[in-house]
Amino acid sequence: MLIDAKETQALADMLRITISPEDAARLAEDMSSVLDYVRLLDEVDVSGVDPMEVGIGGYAELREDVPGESLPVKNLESMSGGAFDSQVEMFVTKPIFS
Amino acid sequence: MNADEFAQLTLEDAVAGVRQGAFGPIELVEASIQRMDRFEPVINAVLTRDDSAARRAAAGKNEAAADQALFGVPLAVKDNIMTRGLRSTCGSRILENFIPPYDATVVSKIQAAGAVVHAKTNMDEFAMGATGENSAYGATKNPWNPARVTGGSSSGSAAVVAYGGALAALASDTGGSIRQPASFCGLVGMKPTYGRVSRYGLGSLASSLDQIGPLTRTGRDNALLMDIISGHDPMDSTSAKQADVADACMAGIDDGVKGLRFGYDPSLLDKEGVSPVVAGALRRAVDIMRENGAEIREVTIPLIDYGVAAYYIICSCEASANMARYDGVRYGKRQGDGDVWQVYGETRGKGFGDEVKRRIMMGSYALSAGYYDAYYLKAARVRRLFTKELTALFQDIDAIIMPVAPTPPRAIGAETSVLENYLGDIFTLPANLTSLPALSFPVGVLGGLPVGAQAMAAPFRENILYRLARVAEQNSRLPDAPWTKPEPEAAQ
Repeated sequence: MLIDAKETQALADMLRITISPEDAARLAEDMSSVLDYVRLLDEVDVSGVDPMEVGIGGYAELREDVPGESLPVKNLESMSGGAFDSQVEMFVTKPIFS
Repeated sequence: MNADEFAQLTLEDAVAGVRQGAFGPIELVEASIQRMDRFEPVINAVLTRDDSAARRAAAGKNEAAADQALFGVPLAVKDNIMTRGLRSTCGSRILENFIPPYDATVVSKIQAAGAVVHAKTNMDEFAMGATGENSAYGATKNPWNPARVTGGSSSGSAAVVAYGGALAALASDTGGSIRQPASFCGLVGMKPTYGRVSRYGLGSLASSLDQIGPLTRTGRDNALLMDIISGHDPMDSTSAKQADVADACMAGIDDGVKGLRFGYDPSLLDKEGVSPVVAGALRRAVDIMRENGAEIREVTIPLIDYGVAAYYIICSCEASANMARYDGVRYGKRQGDGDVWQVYGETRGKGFGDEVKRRIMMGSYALSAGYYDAYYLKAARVRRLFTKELTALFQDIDAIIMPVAPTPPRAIGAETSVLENYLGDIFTLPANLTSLPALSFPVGVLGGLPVGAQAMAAPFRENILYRLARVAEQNSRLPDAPWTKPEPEAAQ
């Protein structure tokens, strides 16, 4: 397999996604089958070809840096999944440094 | 007007009826609600409704504004398109309580045109899927046969229009998510030229592939909606200024196809897994065009065989970046009470389904040091070559006709591998990879299920596609359609 359960578990940890050992084994098999299939691209000669990373129109110009209307703070509560503290009107997160 | 009469209206009929005083916005909204009440227990197309707000909006419509293009018409919106004050889950548990504080540009536009938005539709989670079965809220059933999938990821948008709960719906297409459910549900579905419709307010899956488009029962309805939602938007840096000067989608829509040149690659029908039903539908579509005066030329698309591989690397890579925001802080239902890393892990582990996790991990793997060149860069280069190959064809032809999906809609719950599912997108994802517009339109019904064909055109030439769809519509029939039935069909 191109990617095994141990590597899948390590990848999930880096991506901050908690998965079980059973999930890791199953996802490893799925991903290996797709990554193996994708090797088909090696048949295409891409010498001298630039990558296409955006739509056909290319990068668009940025708009004017003019301040817009701010969203009302009270709306933020309905957005967050429990992280917004209306007492301090801030999103609260766990400490990163202990 | 009763709910069954409502279900058989087109968007144009509804707008005309309101203007003529045959019925009003309140009757339309009530009929839509009744229709949904009757079908939703079986079909599961709608995740959130606000019937009270819809009734208030309809009652508040000022008759002086009856010349608005969508005056009083109830429309549905896919759940990854933001609607202020109306829950938008993207089909995921991680956003199960998310209420957007703003409207997507397309929602603002249809509301400014007089529409009433009261229903948010079911979908594969974060638009990752092609059957509707990846929704965290249960699969949507196909109104033609509830034992079958609707297709995805715009499963709910397609189903609600197919059973006549809404006269049209907005949805999104990253690799076929409008066109494939359109084909599976007997509808017209447009994936516009990249940049023609603003992505502001669309929950991103893959930012260089996503586009918003309409699902409708007729080509004219689809073109009408497209002309309303199209246009450059300064809030979307990938929005194209050319969208403001391109030919309107309605331009010449009833001019027929006489004299137009259509390309057709017959070898696509010999590919492994293409069903005789699909092959028959494509040949029928080509015959219809020929009989109506179009010139049919054989073309070849050699790089189409590499499209699935390129697409799933690019899509997964972009998705892995776009999904990083769901961390239980600004977005996402926070889970876990340990340290910050545990909270992130549990929020995302419990909030995301398998397909989302799979694509995030594959995408990050393909972007990582040591693999970036072999996977992402290679895929992006193949994408450039494929785009050159396809766009070059339009020097000599006006559109390419091709299948939508290799098979008709399968049974819900049928066991398929991940790779088999991905290979089902072979005919739809070329339009997304190459930024070209593509339209799915019905060709007929076989075995009780509708089957469609697809046409692709040069950038900003959506109007050509609509002429094609109109001719197909005038030369095909969809007997026993669910919008003509008073109750949901029994599963077979």
